[in-house]
Amino acid sequence: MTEQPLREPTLLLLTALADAPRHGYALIKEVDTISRGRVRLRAGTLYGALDRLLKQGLVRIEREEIVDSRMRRTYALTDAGSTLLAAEAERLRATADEAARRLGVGPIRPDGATA
Amino acid sequence: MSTPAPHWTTRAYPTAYRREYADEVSDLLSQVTADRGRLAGVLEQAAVLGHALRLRTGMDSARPGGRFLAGLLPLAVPVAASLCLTLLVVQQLPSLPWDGERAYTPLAYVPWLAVLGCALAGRWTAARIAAGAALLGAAASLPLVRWTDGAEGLAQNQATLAGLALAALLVLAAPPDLPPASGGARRTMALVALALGVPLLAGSVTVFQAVSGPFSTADARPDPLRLLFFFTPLVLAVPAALAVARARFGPALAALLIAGSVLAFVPVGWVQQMPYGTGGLWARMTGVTGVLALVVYAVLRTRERRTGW
Repeated sequence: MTEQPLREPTLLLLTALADAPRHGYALIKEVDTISRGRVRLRAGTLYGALDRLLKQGLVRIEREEIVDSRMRRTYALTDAGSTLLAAEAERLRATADEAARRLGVGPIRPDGATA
Repeated sequence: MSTPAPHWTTRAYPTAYRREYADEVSDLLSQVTADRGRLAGVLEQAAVLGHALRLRTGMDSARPGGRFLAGLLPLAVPVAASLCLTLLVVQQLPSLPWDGERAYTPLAYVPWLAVLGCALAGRWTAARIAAGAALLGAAASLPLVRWTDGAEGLAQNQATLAGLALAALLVLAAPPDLPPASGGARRTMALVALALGVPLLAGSVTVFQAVSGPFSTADARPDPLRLLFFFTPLVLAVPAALAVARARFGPALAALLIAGSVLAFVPVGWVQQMPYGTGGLWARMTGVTGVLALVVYAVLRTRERRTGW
């Protein structure tokens, strides 16, 4: 069936993993930064989403290490996850560009300002 | 060096998950508490318990049960909110002779306006908090209405309060990583709220002449709950069919709805015979929803083949 747009927590998680593998708490902090403090993932939401994304093959476990005597997993995007995120980014960019064109404000720069 | 004990909340996880993730989740809880303080730590612990409960009941987002629950939200929230708005308005109207004494429980109704408002604004976390208030409001209303209106007031309201509490539980139990915050989900909520809320409200405040005896009539208003049971299957048929058609096992689900609709009529013809009952309508509309879903599925597939996506 036709692909649905990604839900926001999923999009933010995949974006947080796009440039580097990260562990659980680093992901929460990264999502906070990317969303400019608007979205604060809770542990239950994070692990629920990670569980789903692992099963869907969009995320993989990059490494497991012992930190302060506790197991810590680092998660990374799979190729399928990268492809899906790139497609979603393209979809969002196309929509944003079209909105900017119709408003007559020119392309929108990554910092939110118009060119 | 000894391994620190996993956080007590991780004991709520199913054994297999706990074995895999207890250490990692405990580590995260320690980091959150250290960085953001005790209150943030307590909120995280509550979130972990919620996640554990979803895993235990098969309602997490990785499983069909959780995804089904998340799919119900854009329909359940506006239905509950429309009923609550109507009851709040009807409560303000002077009672008519044929209405009898009706008891209301505004404490259970008001939070639902906030749930719908927040959900429409895309503030799903706030909507979940309001749903928590709705659940507490419904629970507190039971003893309250018993106290203010006696056993009859309780009897009048217990089914409605149970329904509202169930709807609030649905919002709280749905996986938080699949919020109905997309444009499509919010549009569905707005349309269902309008399509159901307007006739429900208009119908509930309309005065009609009820036959009160031989050659006599009296002013009366329809019962909002009866109107809800009448309008809901009519309003939900289309959005439910669209959701079923887009679901992973859409055609199977549609077939199940049609079969369920037929089965409801064959052994239990009573659904059509109950005076003022809407059981027959619900059974019929379930079948209609299934058929509509199959049609939408066929249209989507044909369009996909033509356009290549």
